[in-house]
Formats: sequence, C-alpha cells, structure tokens
Amino acid sequence: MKLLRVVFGGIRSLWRKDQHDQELDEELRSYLEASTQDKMRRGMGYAEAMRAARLEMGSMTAIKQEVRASGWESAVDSLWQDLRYGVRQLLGSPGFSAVAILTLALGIGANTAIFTLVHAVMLKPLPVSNPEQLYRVGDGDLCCEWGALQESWGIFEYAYYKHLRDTDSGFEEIAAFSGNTPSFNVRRAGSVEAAQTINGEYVSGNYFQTFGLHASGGRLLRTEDDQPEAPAVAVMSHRAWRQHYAADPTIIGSTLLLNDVPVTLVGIAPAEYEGARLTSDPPALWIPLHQQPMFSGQGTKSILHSSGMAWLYVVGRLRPGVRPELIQSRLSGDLQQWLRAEGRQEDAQHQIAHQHIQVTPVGTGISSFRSNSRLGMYLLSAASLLVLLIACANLANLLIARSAARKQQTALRLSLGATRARLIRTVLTESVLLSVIGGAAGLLLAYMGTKGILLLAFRGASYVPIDATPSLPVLGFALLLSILTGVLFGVAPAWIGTKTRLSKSLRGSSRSATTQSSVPQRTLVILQAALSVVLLAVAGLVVQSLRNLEDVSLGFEPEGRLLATINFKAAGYKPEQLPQLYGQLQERLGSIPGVRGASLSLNSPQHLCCINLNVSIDGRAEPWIEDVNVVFNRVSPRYFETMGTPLLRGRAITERDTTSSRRVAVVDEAFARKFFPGEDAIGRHFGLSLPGHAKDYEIVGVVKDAKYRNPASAQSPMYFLPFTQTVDYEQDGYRRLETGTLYAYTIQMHVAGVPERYQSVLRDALVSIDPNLALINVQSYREQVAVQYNQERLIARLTSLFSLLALLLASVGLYGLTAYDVARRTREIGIRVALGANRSYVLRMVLRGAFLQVCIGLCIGVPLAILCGGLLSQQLYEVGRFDPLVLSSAVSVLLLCAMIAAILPARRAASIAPVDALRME
Amino acid sequence: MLILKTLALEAMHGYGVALRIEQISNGIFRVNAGSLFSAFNRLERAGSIKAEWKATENNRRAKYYSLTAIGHRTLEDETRQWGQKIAAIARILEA
Repeated sequence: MKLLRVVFGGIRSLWRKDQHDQELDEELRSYLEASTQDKMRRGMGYAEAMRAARLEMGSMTAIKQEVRASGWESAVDSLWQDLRYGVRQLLGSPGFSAVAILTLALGIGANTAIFTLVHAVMLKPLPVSNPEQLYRVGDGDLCCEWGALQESWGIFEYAYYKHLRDTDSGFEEIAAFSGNTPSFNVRRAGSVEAAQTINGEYVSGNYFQTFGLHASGGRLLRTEDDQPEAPAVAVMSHRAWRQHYAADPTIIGSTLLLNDVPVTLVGIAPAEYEGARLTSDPPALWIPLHQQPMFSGQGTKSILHSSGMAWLYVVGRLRPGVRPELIQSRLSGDLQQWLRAEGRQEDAQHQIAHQHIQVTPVGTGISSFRSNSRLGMYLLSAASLLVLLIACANLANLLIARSAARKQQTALRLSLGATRARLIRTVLTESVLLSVIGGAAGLLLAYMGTKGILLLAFRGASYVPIDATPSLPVLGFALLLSILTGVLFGVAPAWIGTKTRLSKSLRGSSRSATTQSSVPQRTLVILQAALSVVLLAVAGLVVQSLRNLEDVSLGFEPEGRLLATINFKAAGYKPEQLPQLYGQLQERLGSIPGVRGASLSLNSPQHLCCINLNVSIDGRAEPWIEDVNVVFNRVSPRYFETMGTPLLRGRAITERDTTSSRRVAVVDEAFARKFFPGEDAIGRHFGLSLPGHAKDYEIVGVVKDAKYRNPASAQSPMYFLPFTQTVDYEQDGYRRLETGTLYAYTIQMHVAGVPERYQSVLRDALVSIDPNLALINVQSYREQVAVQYNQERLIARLTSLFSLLALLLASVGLYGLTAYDVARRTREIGIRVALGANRSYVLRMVLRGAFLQVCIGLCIGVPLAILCGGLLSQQLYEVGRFDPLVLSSAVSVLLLCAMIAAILPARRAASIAPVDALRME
Repeated sequence: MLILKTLALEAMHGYGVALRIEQISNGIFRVNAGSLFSAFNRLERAGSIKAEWKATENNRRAKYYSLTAIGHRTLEDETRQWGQKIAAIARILEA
C-alpha cells in the first residue's frame, strides 16, 4: 500500500514535472514571504528583513534540487537524461555508431545463429508432456533392420519389445516405433486424385499415451488399435494434414488407401509434433505395429513376426524415483538372458556377455544429426565465440579511443562537480544503448543466417522439422550476450577515462610529445591478430578436409548419371512379378534417346546403404572370418557399366544369371583382398555365416572398390548378387531378408548431356509401363554425392565465413588504432617533418608500430593454431596436425590485411604538412 | 517525528512549522528550508501528511500541511520507539 503510493507519487511528479516545479516554487516563495513578515514584525525594515530571510533560506535552486532528489523519480529522471544524452552522442558521430553497431551485430548475429541451431538440434525438448521423464532403451542411431549383435543395443525386434512391455522393467509405460520411415502412396478412397507420397512410422498402440500427447482432431492411437484383428487405422501429422489436405476436417474418420490398403484415418496429431526423431522429412503417418503385415505380407514375410531382425526403437516413461542406471544394468542382464534363450547359439557365448543396453534420456528426441555433428557444433560455437571476442575487442578499442578523445570534456565536467559515478553511468548508458541496438540488429542477422544454415545443412530435403525462428531462450541468450558485452566493454573505458588528473587534462593533451595509444588498446589488437590467425588456420584445415573428401576416388563415375528412388513394394508388386518388370524397365529406359545405359539396384553408392551381414568362406574355419562386417547389394545386369565401376577380373552379373542357373556373386577388391589375400578369388565359394550355407555363391567377378558410404567412415568388403537368385533359408529373418531385398530401390541411368534434363522422360517411361510407378526422388548423381558432404561443407563454409569475419574485424581494429595513433601524433609528426624527416621515414615509423602488434599477435596465434590443428586433425579427413601450407597462407592473408589496414593511416601521416600540424590548437 | 508532532496540533504552512520547532526547542533546532521541504515531500509520499492550498492569516496563499490518520499512527509509533531508545540510552549512561 505504502509502496504503491510512493510509486504513484513518483510517477505523478514525473508526469507533471512542470506543475510540480511550479507548486514548489510558489510554496518556497510563500515561505520566504512568511519569513520576511515575521522578521518585519520583530522590527526589521522590509529590505533588511527580506535580505535576512533570503540569507537564512539559502539558494532556492539548491533547495528545489534537494527536494527533487528526495524521491525515487529523480533516478529515473537522470537515467532518462543519460539515455537522451546517449542517443544524441550516437547520432552525433554516425560513423562511430555505425561501425560499433555493425561490429556488434556481426558478433552477436553469428553467435545467435549458431546458438539457435545448437538449441534446436541439441537442447530443445520434444513437444510432449514431461519430456525429462522419457528415456530410451538403448542408444546410437542404427536404423532400419539389423540382424547381427549390436554390442551396445539401440534397436530391437518386436518379440523383445513385447517381453519388455510385459515384464516389470521400471517403466510406467513403454512404447516402440519403427527405425525407418517407409513411404506410402496415399489416396482418399473413392477419389481419382493423384497419390501423395507420405512417410510413415509403425508405432505401438501406447505410443501417443507414452509421450503424453493429445489429438488436435479426432483421436490418437490406442492399445486396442494395435491388435492382430483390430480394424486398420492411422493417425496423420498436423503438418501433412495442412499441407496435403488443406486441414479438411472431413478427412478425419474417412478411409484412406495406403499402398491400396484401406485404412481409417482416426485423428490428427498435435500441431507441433513431428515424431520422436529429428530427421529431415519426418514421419507424417503413424500406423499400429500390427498393421505392418498388411503392407509387407502376412506370416514370416512380415518383420513383425520374424525373429532375429531388430527394427524398433523403444522409449519409455520412467517411473518416478527410479534411477536409470539401475534399470540399465538390469536390462543388460535381461537382454543377455533373452539372447541365450532365443537360441543364438551360433554366436559365441563370449560375445553375448558383451551385449549391453544403455538407458539414455530422450527428452530432446533421437537424432542422428546430433550425434554426427557434435564436433561440428562445437567447432562452430567456438568459432562464433571467437568472432564475438574479436568484435568485443573492437568495440572496447573504439570506446577507449573515444573516451580518450573526450578526456578534456570529462575533466571539465569533473571539475564542475559531476561525480565520477555519474560520468561512468553516462558512458555505460551509452554503451548499453549501443549494444542493445547492435544486439537487435544481430538478432535479425541471426534469423536470416539460421534459415540459410538450415538450407545448407539439409540440402535436398523437402522439409526440415527445425524452426529457424529464435525461440525465447535464444532471444534471452542474445539479449544477455549484448548487454554483457556492452557493460563489460563499456565500464572499462569509462573507468580509465574518468581516472584522469584534472589539471593535466585541462591543460591540453596535444602538448605532450609522444602520447601513444594505451597498453589495453595494444593488447586488444594483439589479441585480435592472434585469434584471427587461429580461426583462419582452422578454417583452412576444415576446407582442406572437405576438399580431400570431395577429391576422394569414389570408384564410380557421378558425372552424367541420374539417380532415381522408387518403391515397387508401395506400387503393389509381388516378388514373383519383379524379374519381368525389371527386364521390361531396363529395356524401355535403355531405348530412350541419349541414354547410354540403365540399371537397377537395391542400394546405390552414396545413397541408401547398407545391409550388413557376416559370411563364411567355403572350407575355412578361422574364427575371424565370422567377425568381419560384410555389406551386400543386389544389382541388375549392366549395373557396373552404368555406374562406371571398372570390372577388374571375371565377368559382371548378366541376364544369363537366372533362377535356374548356379548362384553367382561379384565381389569387390576389398572382399577379395580380405578373404583371399594373394589368391585368385574367381571360382571360390562363400555364403552367409549360417550352418550349411558356406558355399551358396560362386564368385564370378571382381570389381573396383566403390565408396558406398561416407569416405571418412570405414569401408566394409562388399558382394553383389543378381535379383533373380535367392537362397532358401530356414530362419524367418533370413527368409524375409531374401524376399525383401528382391525389391530394387534405385534406378541409375548413364546419359549424354545434362542428367537433370532426363527427369521427365524417366517419369514418362515409368508411367507408360505402370501408372502406379511414381518416383520418390530423382536427381543427378553429382548432386547426390554433394548432398553427402552437406555437413562437412556447411561447417567448412561457416568456419571460413567466421574466419573472414574475424579477419575483417581485426583489420578494422588495426586500422582504427593506427588511424587514432596518427591523429594523436599529428603534432609530433609535424615536428619531425619540420626537423627534416622525410615521407618514407614517417611511413615506416607508423607501419612499424602497427606491424609490431600484428607480429606479437602472430607469435601467440601460430602456436595456438598448431595446437588447435592437433586437436582437430583426428576428426578431419586426411589432414595432418600441422599443415604448413594452410598455416603460412593464414599468416600471409593476415599480414596482407594488416598491411592494407595500416598503410592508409600511414600515408595520411606521411602527408601531414608541418605548418598545419604545428598550427593546430 | 518533530514535524509530525508539530502538525499534530494544527495544520500549518512550511514557515510556521520551521518557526514552531525553533520556538519550542528554544532555538536549539533550526530547520533549514531544504531539509524541511524534502521532509514534507517524503512524508506526503508516505501518506503521513496531506497538503492543501489555503489563505494565510494575512490573506496570502500558502500550502498548509495537516496530519492524516496514517500520520497519527506513525507519530505514535515513532514516539514510543523514541521513548524506548531514550530510556535505553539513559540506562546505559547511568550504568
């Protein structure tokens, strides 16, 4: 109550300042009058009484000041004065303000953009209730289907999920969802509209319940939906609903055809929710696990019912008070027991003992981008922080220079009775004002920057579930950052500025002969030079790494090739129909004018990869053979020719390899080298590492190694099988693998001219064979390869950008300091010239001063750069810890920029006419 | 407290308060105008006194201050506290 009155009283008097003043005036006058009259009553004359009263009362202005200062509003008032003064100061020197604001905007913009990205990718919780309670059973980003032991498990088969769900696992609720996101051809039942391609995800019935989500329309999936006999249902994401169906409410409850299977769309997921994984093109349809057989074939054809194939991520809500570490060890034991019970005797017992499960928090979602790009994120954060540091150094230098220029003014104010605190406050207000404006500009820059970065990071993706708009924490971060820089780098110059000896300053600074810029200023420039050279060197290393990656011999020819992704399964084909279809397709595509060759394959280099298996070699029992991770692929005839992969020995897969002929395989060099060192691989036999399958395939050819995965990751030996031949396995999982891999997912074409021009011809050709054959994606192979280096390229570009920024800022800083030096030494230089110094001497003198700092900076920066290189070299591709070329170019670039930055003021110094210089002041 | 006590008897203008304090204290307390008006400002903010413009005994306009209910309470509180303090100091001095 009292506080309220004080506040209101203050506001009132601020608001009606004039009236308040007037009243006080009148009151004081009446006081004076009363005093005078009192004195007259005691016998003084009017004039005498008046004088005595005045004397007694003192200065009226002083009293008014005192009264005014008694309320809190005076502080606001003076702050307001400071602010107005600050704005006037900034407007008064637009050049200084522009440079300072731009410097800050660049520094803060870079940091905010990177922080937005880090926040979105690393820290932002999923839009679910109590995300901190969510834990994932397992870690890593294995995906799709995994048959082998995983050691640290992250993906599981349905039977194990069911086992976890039905035993007490310490989770309140435990859900599963598929590791891959199959695409579906979606059409409304009864309509003739073109089918939409929408990514889906198989989820357990309690999936939405576990995440604590509520439908934004209709209902979400329930446990009853995920039963073998339950009617087919699906839930759609809010984004897909808006995008593909214009948020049409009538679609809820209607029947959709997914790959021609009728399914009731029961509801729409909450608007923000895009699945528990951070991927580009996230799932937009959620389908109960038990409907999986409807799309893939009943019985053991379905992954749901086949054992030995892991394909599900498992996420649960931990019971309150349960510690994840405890569950972890219990689950690991449970898994080993389960694996033994499952009869995986063929895997050595000692291997099972190594299998374990880590329980990891999953509140921020599962992201392969996150685990892949952690280093990049750290690097970028560090680089942007360095840029900010350099920007701050610049700002501090500018402010110091300015406070030095205002020395006389400051001294005058101090001598007129202004307190030091008040003066510091003035300068502080000004620098905070600067930093807030700079911060706002930086935020704008960051918003645009983040959009650009996302575009680069997910090149080739049609949709990215990461928001570029700065969120509240990001805004707070930027604001805090800008104010912190303002305060930190504003107080110091103000402190130095007000610590002057009054008499000396007032006498005039130009009298002293060699006033040089202060030690803090020089230190800052040295720091800038050192940091820029570090950044330049690091950027050089990263760029070098990217260049190494791009120059790597891929083992196939991306030029003049077109790559298309297709889903024959979604188009409704049965495995038996495929061989004929493939032949027809290859013939049709091959006859297009300009097409030199066309082929089909299960996987394609730098695209979809890979199915990992273990093999056994006929007649050999060495135990290491079973531990080698081998990748397999199915290819059509003329595949190697079309891809430009050279055949080294023997023959490729041809039309003559049919269902009835002997089973053949083509292997790559790495396979031959690994298993048959120094021998001829042709004619040898191998098979999967299952009892009785060691001689399933005969090797008929050897091809050159091709990079199927990222060149930086280890390459596994590969073998290639024809689409026409399968092996009859007893195990469900392997049977399913055999039929599943009969579907080709990629089409390659070798064409004359620009590959992109053939996109429409390819589509037309497919439609002429079957209107249901829609391409999921088609692009030139050059682009496909480029996409693989997105992250590396993004990081390389951003670090280069940051290092250039740093260089620019450092150059501006050096220029500023040198120019300031020259301006201060005008008189001194004038005297020197008058005494006979020539132009080149003055030029050299100024340059020497500037380069001294740069050289000290280099002395600090170069060892630091080598140290950073050492830290980074392991993470980069074929880059040594010390690359003299990169380092020397970084140094020479910095020296060049320093030269330019120093020569301009130096020339000005050299052209000073002694008469003008001496006449100053 | 002194101002409040002075005003407790009757509403007064600024000079009147200053004069009264000086007179009653036999010239020991002389209140200067700056402190007086600052104090008025503070007390008015706190709601202890209220002010209105009135005509003086010789027909001049002056701002008259008077005590509010809060002011009376504050005065009582402060007087009591002052008494306690004085007593305590006296005890210490006697000891």
